[in-house]
Amino acid sequence: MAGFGPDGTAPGGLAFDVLGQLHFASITVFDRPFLDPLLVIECNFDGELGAFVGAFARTAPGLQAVLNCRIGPPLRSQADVAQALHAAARRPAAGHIGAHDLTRSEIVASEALAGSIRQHLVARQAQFQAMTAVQAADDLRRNFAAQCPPLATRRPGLKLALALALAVLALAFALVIAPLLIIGALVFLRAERREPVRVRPEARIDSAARNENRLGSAQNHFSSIAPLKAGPVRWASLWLAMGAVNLLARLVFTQGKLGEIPSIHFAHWVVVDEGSSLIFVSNYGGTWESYLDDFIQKAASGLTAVWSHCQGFPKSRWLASGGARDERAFKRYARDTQAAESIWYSAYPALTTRRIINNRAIMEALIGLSKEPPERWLARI
Amino acid sequence: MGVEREDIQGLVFSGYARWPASYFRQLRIRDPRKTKRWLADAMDALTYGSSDRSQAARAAHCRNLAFTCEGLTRLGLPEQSTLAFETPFREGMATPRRSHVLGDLPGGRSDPAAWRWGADPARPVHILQMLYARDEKAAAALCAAEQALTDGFLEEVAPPQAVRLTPDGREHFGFADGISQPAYDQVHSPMESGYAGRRIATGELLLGHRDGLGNITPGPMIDAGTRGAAFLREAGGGLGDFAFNGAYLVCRRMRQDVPAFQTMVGDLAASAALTTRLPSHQPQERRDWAASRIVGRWPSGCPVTASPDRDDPQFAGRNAFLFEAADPKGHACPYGAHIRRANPRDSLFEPWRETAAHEAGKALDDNDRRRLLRRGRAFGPPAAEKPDAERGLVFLALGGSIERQFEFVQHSWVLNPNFAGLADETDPLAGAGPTSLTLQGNPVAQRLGGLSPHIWTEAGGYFFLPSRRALRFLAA
Repeated sequence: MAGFGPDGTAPGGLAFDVLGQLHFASITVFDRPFLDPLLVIECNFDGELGAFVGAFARTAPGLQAVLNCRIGPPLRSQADVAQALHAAARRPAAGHIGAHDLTRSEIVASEALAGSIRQHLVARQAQFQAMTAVQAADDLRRNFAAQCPPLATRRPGLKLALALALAVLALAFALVIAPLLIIGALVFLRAERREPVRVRPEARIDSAARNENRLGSAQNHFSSIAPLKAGPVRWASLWLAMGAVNLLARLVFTQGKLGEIPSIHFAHWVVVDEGSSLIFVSNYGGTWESYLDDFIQKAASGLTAVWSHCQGFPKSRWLASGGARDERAFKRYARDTQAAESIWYSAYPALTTRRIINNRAIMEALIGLSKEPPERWLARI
Repeated sequence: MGVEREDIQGLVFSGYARWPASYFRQLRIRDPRKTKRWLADAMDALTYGSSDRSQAARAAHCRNLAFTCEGLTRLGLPEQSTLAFETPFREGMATPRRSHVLGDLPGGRSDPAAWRWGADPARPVHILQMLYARDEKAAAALCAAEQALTDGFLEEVAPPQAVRLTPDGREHFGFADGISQPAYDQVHSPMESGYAGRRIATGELLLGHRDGLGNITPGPMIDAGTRGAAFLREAGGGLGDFAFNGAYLVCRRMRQDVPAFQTMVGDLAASAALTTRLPSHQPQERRDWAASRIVGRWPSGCPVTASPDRDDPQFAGRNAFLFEAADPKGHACPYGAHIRRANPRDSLFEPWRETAAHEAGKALDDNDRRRLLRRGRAFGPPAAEKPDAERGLVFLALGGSIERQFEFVQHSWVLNPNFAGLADETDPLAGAGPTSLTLQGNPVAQRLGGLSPHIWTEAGGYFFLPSRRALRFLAA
């Protein structure tokens, strides 16, 4: 893979940039003591799995060679490659998408149009300073509305009132099955308390950090794997926690933020090795340090609830407490389980989630899809 | 209850305003044994915090010492134990990874390949010696005396750097500097107010104390059997806590090009964007107006937020203000202005957002975790006296974490092209390349192009400022 370039798109490589539906992709080889190495190809794409896999197998000349490094019968044709990819595909068990529902083509086209609008404003500064907000907004609509790319329909987030109503319902339901829940919680807490505290030795070098902070990129990639804690109690609580995170991500955090974190493009947990290991892959904005700081300060509970099911994670209490809040131990854990990806591709490396979502809001108001007051709309530009 | 001031080097408590003349020496240890012997005497002559301020104020000199990671191991701190230090400190400031974070890009003006010290592995800096005196003559004599004392076993990697506090507290571009200082629990008296009236957890400045999240960051722990370990604070389990009461120290020599800065501001003032915006202003007033949008303060230190249209001396040096409360849309102080990037206070949001009070409060909590205690000084004569001389400032900042504080501010705020919803611009004063500055306003924002920072990095390093106990351990 070294010949494919760091983003895999060198001639004869993986041609990610030709796949118009692809947002992010990575290839990581997890080298693990006592277990077979794991080759993980991560793809965040628009549309259906089958269509994507077919297109990927067709356009990527180097894919066959990569896949033939795996244990298994050799692949001899594009059809073999597509079939193998399809068979090995795992959907994430839980995750979060910052600009959910937005297609790659919309994201790229919106950014280009927002740039054109800014240039227009700079070129006509004097005229615009003399206008009212309504006049300025009209000018922009007249000049640019026709160029707006087709906008995908977005699932609206759950309104707070509705969320509260649902929570009350859930609570009422919980009261009915309270005895069961209490027993379950007690069993869990007992198991959690008995888990050993592991003191991690300090790592000598952060080899996983070697690919970070690429020039000209506002984004970074994180991939890690860790063995899950054994036993039925932790198995049940893992799926419960991932279900809850999923539900929240889909219903509540639909405005580009997971908890209060505005920097995540795609983040996914995937269970592999017949349920004995957990992979976490994430494409995020900013530095590794700022990303983990955000985790600690803004989403420690959700993160701990899932990640504390891995061996070696800082000691949690009450499922979601403790854990990631121990900054030093948490960062150490993240580095220790992290692997340096061999290849990482981003379709729009200079963009942040905030910017993508802001571009979307600019486009919506441009074609009258939203009724934002002109002052506020213009401030976005 | 306060920290044990006598155990902590004085730079933590004071910027030594009474000792305006000073020299910084960048030293390499040639003979560790002799260095230890020297340190055993020198450490008693260092300046520590003192409960008796009037006595401290009578001292003729102030001296402090800081060490790079390699410097500490050369003096016998076990290599294995240094793994407990932060990665940036262990790596040093000039590795490619740190350079990406800091904007010291290859081929650019701040490229470490061209640094005067701190980047050449063959000539590493181990010790930063900071010497302060009442006037220039006394400082030169102090520096010469120290040179004589350390001759033979400490090698000067670069000539001693003369630095000073300017009489009016202004840096070379003409702006009052070092205003926005934080105040820390147990370090500052309750009477001293920090930025925005905040008090920050001790551990955000000193290692071994609780930080803003309630965590204590462990540093190197030394086995009781190690020589000198008995001098260290006992950390339980027979281990000595080396980092306790110490702090990280970031040092960067920043060069400033005053004529280029003035030309840039002059061009800006004469641009169509500003002449139509400020038709009744005199050219000089327009220049000051333009420069103050870049900095976020007027030359006196008056925040643009407090007085958008003219420098108001009654607000000079004002530090108790918030952005979100006074100027949520950035119509006075632009979001991209230097002080709003480097210390956004409660304003970590996009200009178009309606921010709830609890969100602004959370932003302040986050901001508290990014503060630096600055101890920088100017070098070189004023531009008016000697136009051709080199000038700038030696940036010094203390903190409990390099990566969470200095590097974060640098990468995620100062150099972030998407900071607070901005598009494709970096800090116009201290960024890393050509940029523009967006002035938020009605009906649309104005974008001032053709800007470029006229400050760049010429040398630097990550140091550690040990406690008196830790110095005693190193000298043993």
